[in-house]
Amino acid sequence: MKSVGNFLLSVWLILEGLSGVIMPTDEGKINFFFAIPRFSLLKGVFPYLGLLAGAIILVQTINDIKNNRPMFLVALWAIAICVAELVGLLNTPFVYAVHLLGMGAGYFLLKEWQQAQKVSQVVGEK
Amino acid sequence: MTGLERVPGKLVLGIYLIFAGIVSILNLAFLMPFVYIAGAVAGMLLIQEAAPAPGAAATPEAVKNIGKVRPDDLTRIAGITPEVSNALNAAKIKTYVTLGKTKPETLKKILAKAGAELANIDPSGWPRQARLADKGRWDEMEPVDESGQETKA
Repeated sequence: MKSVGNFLLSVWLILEGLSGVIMPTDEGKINFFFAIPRFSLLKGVFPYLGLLAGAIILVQTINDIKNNRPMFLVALWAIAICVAELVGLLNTPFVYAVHLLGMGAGYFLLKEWQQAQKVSQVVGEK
Repeated sequence: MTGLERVPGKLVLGIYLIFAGIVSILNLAFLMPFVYIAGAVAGMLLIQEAAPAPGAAATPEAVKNIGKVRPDDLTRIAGITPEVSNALNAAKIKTYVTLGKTKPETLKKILAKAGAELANIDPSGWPRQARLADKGRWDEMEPVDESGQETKA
Protein backbone atom coordinates (compact mmCIF):
# COMPACT_ATOMS: atom_id res chain seq x y z
CA MET A 1 0.00 0.00 0.00
CA LYS A 2 2.84 2.36 0.88
CA SER A 3 4.30 2.21 -2.62
CA VAL A 4 1.02 2.86 -4.39
CA GLY A 5 1.07 6.63 -3.96
CA ASN A 6 4.60 7.02 -5.25
CA PHE A 7 3.95 4.63 -8.11
CA LEU A 8 0.83 6.55 -9.16
CA LEU A 9 2.74 9.82 -8.87
CA SER A 10 5.44 8.44 -11.18
CA VAL A 11 2.88 7.20 -13.69
CA TRP A 12 1.04 10.51 -13.57
CA LEU A 13 4.27 12.48 -14.15
CA ILE A 14 5.19 10.25 -17.09
CA LEU A 15 1.75 10.53 -18.67
CA GLU A 16 1.60 14.29 -18.15
CA GLY A 17 5.09 14.59 -19.58
CA LEU A 18 4.25 12.46 -22.59
CA SER A 19 1.01 14.32 -23.13
CA GLY A 20 2.95 17.57 -23.26
CA VAL A 21 5.27 16.41 -26.01
CA ILE A 22 3.14 14.08 -28.10
CA MET A 23 -0.27 15.71 -27.90
CA PRO A 24 -1.53 18.92 -29.37
CA THR A 25 -2.57 21.56 -26.85
CA ASP A 26 -6.18 22.68 -26.56
CA GLU A 27 -5.39 25.35 -29.12
CA GLY A 28 -3.73 22.73 -31.28
CA LYS A 29 -0.56 24.79 -31.42
CA ILE A 30 2.21 22.69 -29.96
CA ASN A 31 2.98 19.45 -31.73
CA PHE A 32 6.45 19.15 -30.34
CA PHE A 33 7.29 15.75 -31.78
CA PHE A 34 4.09 14.39 -33.25
CA ALA A 35 0.45 14.27 -32.34
CA ILE A 36 -1.62 11.24 -31.41
CA PRO A 37 -5.20 12.52 -31.38
CA ARG A 38 -6.72 9.47 -29.69
CA PHE A 39 -4.25 9.81 -26.85
CA SER A 40 -5.91 13.10 -25.99
CA LEU A 41 -9.02 11.17 -24.91
CA LEU A 42 -6.99 9.89 -21.99
CA LYS A 43 -5.99 13.36 -20.91
CA GLY A 44 -9.18 13.82 -18.92
CA VAL A 45 -8.11 11.01 -16.62
CA PHE A 46 -4.70 12.48 -15.74
CA PRO A 47 -5.86 15.00 -13.10
CA TYR A 48 -7.75 12.26 -11.27
CA LEU A 49 -4.66 10.10 -11.33
CA GLY A 50 -2.54 12.93 -9.92
CA LEU A 51 -5.20 13.70 -7.34
CA LEU A 52 -5.30 10.09 -6.22
CA ALA A 53 -1.51 9.88 -6.06
CA GLY A 54 -1.31 13.13 -4.08
CA ALA A 55 -4.04 12.04 -1.67
CA ILE A 56 -2.38 8.69 -0.98
CA ILE A 57 1.05 10.26 -0.40
CA LEU A 58 -0.53 12.92 1.80
CA VAL A 59 -2.14 10.28 4.01
CA GLN A 60 1.16 8.38 4.19
CA THR A 61 3.25 11.39 5.14
CA ILE A 62 0.94 13.49 7.29
CA ASN A 63 1.77 11.60 10.48
CA ASP A 64 5.50 12.24 10.14
CA ILE A 65 5.82 15.48 8.22
CA LYS A 66 9.23 16.32 9.70
CA ASN A 67 10.72 13.17 8.21
CA ASN A 68 8.81 13.34 4.93
CA ARG A 69 8.51 17.07 4.34
CA PRO A 70 9.53 17.04 0.65
CA MET A 71 7.07 14.31 -0.31
CA PHE A 72 4.37 15.92 1.85
CA LEU A 73 4.78 19.14 -0.14
CA VAL A 74 4.88 17.19 -3.41
CA ALA A 75 1.55 15.61 -2.40
CA LEU A 76 0.03 19.02 -1.64
CA TRP A 77 1.34 20.37 -4.93
CA ALA A 78 -0.03 17.41 -6.91
CA ILE A 79 -3.46 17.78 -5.29
CA ALA A 80 -3.55 21.54 -5.79
CA ILE A 81 -2.45 21.47 -9.43
CA CYS A 82 -4.94 18.71 -10.27
CA VAL A 83 -7.79 20.50 -8.49
CA ALA A 84 -6.86 23.66 -10.39
CA GLU A 85 -7.04 21.74 -13.64
CA LEU A 86 -10.33 20.06 -12.77
CA VAL A 87 -12.16 23.19 -11.66
CA GLY A 88 -10.66 25.38 -14.36
CA LEU A 89 -8.38 27.53 -12.25
CA LEU A 90 -5.43 27.29 -14.61
CA ASN A 91 -4.05 30.68 -15.65
CA THR A 92 -5.26 32.28 -12.42
CA PRO A 93 -3.28 33.64 -9.46
CA PHE A 94 -4.13 30.45 -7.58
CA VAL A 95 -1.92 28.51 -9.95
CA TYR A 96 1.00 30.84 -9.26
CA ALA A 97 0.65 29.99 -5.58
CA VAL A 98 0.56 26.30 -6.49
CA HIS A 99 3.73 26.69 -8.53
CA LEU A 100 5.40 28.42 -5.61
CA LEU A 101 4.37 25.45 -3.46
CA GLY A 102 5.87 23.12 -6.07
CA MET A 103 9.07 25.12 -6.08
CA GLY A 104 9.19 24.86 -2.29
CA ALA A 105 8.79 21.10 -2.58
CA GLY A 106 11.54 21.06 -5.20
CA TYR A 107 13.81 23.05 -2.93
CA PHE A 108 13.32 20.58 -0.08
CA LEU A 109 13.90 17.62 -2.43
CA LEU A 110 17.20 19.16 -3.55
CA LYS A 111 18.12 19.91 0.06
CA GLU A 112 17.35 16.32 1.05
CA TRP A 113 19.55 15.06 -1.77
CA GLN A 114 22.34 17.44 -0.74
CA GLN A 115 22.04 16.20 2.86
CA ALA A 116 22.23 12.57 1.66
CA GLN A 117 25.35 13.42 -0.36
CA LYS A 118 26.94 15.02 2.70
CA VAL A 119 26.18 12.00 4.87
CA SER A 120 27.51 9.56 2.28
CA GLN A 121 30.69 11.62 2.04
CA VAL A 122 31.17 11.51 5.80
CA VAL A 123 30.47 7.77 5.87
CA GLY A 124 32.92 7.31 3.01
CA GLU A 125 35.59 9.18 4.91
CA LYS A 126 35.09 7.01 7.99
CA MET B 1 23.49 1.24 -19.10
CA THR B 2 23.27 4.95 -19.75
CA GLY B 3 24.42 6.25 -16.40
CA LEU B 4 21.01 7.86 -16.01
CA GLU B 5 20.04 5.17 -13.53
CA ARG B 6 22.53 6.69 -11.06
CA VAL B 7 20.61 9.95 -10.94
CA PRO B 8 18.17 10.00 -8.01
CA GLY B 9 14.54 10.34 -9.08
CA LYS B 10 13.77 12.70 -6.22
CA LEU B 11 16.58 15.03 -7.34
CA VAL B 12 15.13 15.21 -10.85
CA LEU B 13 11.64 15.64 -9.39
CA GLY B 14 12.95 18.58 -7.36
CA ILE B 15 14.60 20.14 -10.42
CA TYR B 16 11.41 19.56 -12.41
CA LEU B 17 9.24 21.28 -9.80
CA ILE B 18 11.48 24.34 -9.62
CA PHE B 19 11.87 24.47 -13.40
CA ALA B 20 8.12 24.08 -13.97
CA GLY B 21 7.40 26.79 -11.41
CA ILE B 22 9.77 29.28 -13.02
CA VAL B 23 8.58 28.52 -16.56
CA SER B 24 4.92 28.80 -15.59
CA ILE B 25 5.22 31.92 -13.46
CA LEU B 26 7.33 33.73 -16.05
CA ASN B 27 5.06 32.36 -18.80
CA LEU B 28 7.96 31.00 -20.84
CA ALA B 29 5.76 28.87 -23.10
CA PHE B 30 8.59 27.91 -25.43
CA LEU B 31 10.22 26.00 -22.55
CA MET B 32 7.08 24.00 -21.69
CA PRO B 33 8.02 20.92 -23.77
CA PHE B 34 11.21 20.66 -21.72
CA VAL B 35 9.19 20.92 -18.53
CA TYR B 36 7.06 17.99 -19.69
CA ILE B 37 10.16 16.00 -20.59
CA ALA B 38 11.71 16.72 -17.17
CA GLY B 39 8.50 15.53 -15.49
CA ALA B 40 8.44 12.33 -17.51
CA VAL B 41 12.12 11.67 -16.76
CA ALA B 42 11.50 12.24 -13.04
CA GLY B 43 8.61 9.78 -13.14
CA MET B 44 10.67 7.18 -14.96
CA LEU B 45 13.57 7.51 -12.54
CA LEU B 46 11.26 7.22 -9.53
CA ILE B 47 9.84 4.01 -10.94
CA GLN B 48 13.31 2.77 -11.82
CA GLU B 49 14.48 3.33 -8.23
CA ALA B 50 11.85 0.90 -7.06
CA ALA B 51 13.09 -1.76 -9.42
CA PRO B 52 15.49 -4.36 -8.03
CA ALA B 53 19.18 -4.26 -8.95
CA PRO B 54 20.17 -6.43 -11.92
CA GLY B 55 20.26 -10.04 -10.81
CA ALA B 56 18.33 -9.37 -7.64
CA ALA B 57 14.90 -10.81 -7.05
CA ALA B 58 11.99 -8.43 -7.37
CA THR B 59 10.73 -7.96 -3.85
CA PRO B 60 7.77 -5.99 -2.58
CA GLU B 61 10.26 -4.40 -0.16
CA ALA B 62 12.17 -2.86 -3.06
CA VAL B 63 8.97 -1.38 -4.44
CA LYS B 64 8.06 -0.05 -1.00
CA ASN B 65 11.25 1.99 -0.85
CA ILE B 66 10.24 4.28 -3.68
CA GLY B 67 10.29 7.88 -2.49
CA LYS B 68 10.62 6.74 1.11
CA VAL B 69 12.98 8.27 3.65
CA ARG B 70 15.77 5.79 4.29
CA PRO B 71 16.84 4.95 7.83
CA ASP B 72 19.85 6.92 9.00
CA ASP B 73 23.13 5.32 10.01
CA LEU B 74 22.84 5.72 13.77
CA THR B 75 26.32 4.29 14.31
CA ARG B 76 27.66 7.66 13.16
CA ILE B 77 26.79 8.87 16.64
CA ALA B 78 29.38 8.41 19.36
CA GLY B 79 28.51 5.50 21.61
CA ILE B 80 26.08 3.80 19.25
CA THR B 81 27.46 0.44 18.21
CA PRO B 82 25.80 -1.73 15.55
CA GLU B 83 24.17 -3.74 18.36
CA VAL B 84 22.76 -0.57 19.91
CA SER B 85 21.63 0.60 16.49
CA ASN B 86 19.77 -2.68 15.97
CA ALA B 87 18.10 -2.30 19.35
CA LEU B 88 17.03 1.26 18.51
CA ASN B 89 15.78 0.21 15.10
CA ALA B 90 13.73 -2.54 16.72
CA ALA B 91 12.15 0.19 18.85
CA LYS B 92 11.25 2.13 15.67
CA ILE B 93 14.06 4.65 16.17
CA LYS B 94 15.59 4.64 12.72
CA THR B 95 16.35 8.26 11.94
CA TYR B 96 18.29 11.11 13.50
CA VAL B 97 15.06 13.06 13.81
CA THR B 98 13.36 10.34 15.83
CA LEU B 99 16.41 9.77 17.99
CA GLY B 100 16.73 13.52 18.52
CA LYS B 101 13.19 13.62 19.90
CA THR B 102 13.57 10.59 22.17
CA LYS B 103 14.23 11.20 25.85
CA PRO B 104 17.33 9.62 27.40
CA GLU B 105 15.11 7.83 29.93
CA THR B 106 13.23 6.16 27.10
CA LEU B 107 16.50 5.20 25.44
CA LYS B 108 17.68 3.70 28.75
CA LYS B 109 14.54 1.57 28.88
CA ILE B 110 15.02 0.42 25.28
CA LEU B 111 18.63 -0.57 26.00
CA ALA B 112 17.67 -2.36 29.21
CA LYS B 113 15.02 -4.27 27.31
CA ALA B 114 17.53 -5.20 24.59
CA GLY B 115 19.77 -7.05 27.00
CA ALA B 116 22.06 -6.83 29.99
CA GLU B 117 25.07 -5.97 27.81
CA LEU B 118 23.50 -2.75 26.63
CA ALA B 119 21.78 -1.84 29.88
CA ASN B 120 24.79 0.02 31.31
CA ILE B 121 25.35 2.27 28.29
CA ASP B 122 24.70 5.95 28.89
CA PRO B 123 22.53 7.34 26.07
CA SER B 124 22.12 10.85 27.53
CA GLY B 125 24.13 12.57 24.78
CA TRP B 126 22.56 10.76 21.82
CA PRO B 127 19.49 12.97 21.27
CA ARG B 128 21.66 16.09 21.05
CA GLN B 129 24.14 14.33 18.76
CA ALA B 130 21.26 13.10 16.61
CA ARG B 131 19.87 16.62 16.28
CA LEU B 132 23.30 17.83 15.14
CA ALA B 133 23.55 14.93 12.67
CA ASP B 134 20.09 15.73 11.34
CA LYS B 135 21.24 19.28 10.62
CA GLY B 136 24.44 18.01 9.01
CA ARG B 137 26.59 19.69 11.65
CA TRP B 138 29.07 16.82 11.70
CA ASP B 139 32.00 19.02 12.76
CA GLU B 140 30.34 19.78 16.08
CA MET B 141 29.69 16.14 16.92
CA GLU B 142 31.73 13.95 19.19
CA PRO B 143 34.12 11.81 17.15
CA VAL B 144 33.65 8.03 17.05
CA ASP B 145 36.26 5.31 16.71
CA GLU B 146 35.97 2.18 14.56
CA SER B 147 33.85 0.33 17.14
CA GLY B 148 31.36 3.16 17.39
CA GLN B 149 32.56 4.13 20.85
CA GLU B 150 33.16 7.71 21.83
CA THR B 151 36.77 8.74 21.28
CA LYS B 152 38.41 10.08 24.39
CA ALA B 153 41.02 12.73 23.80
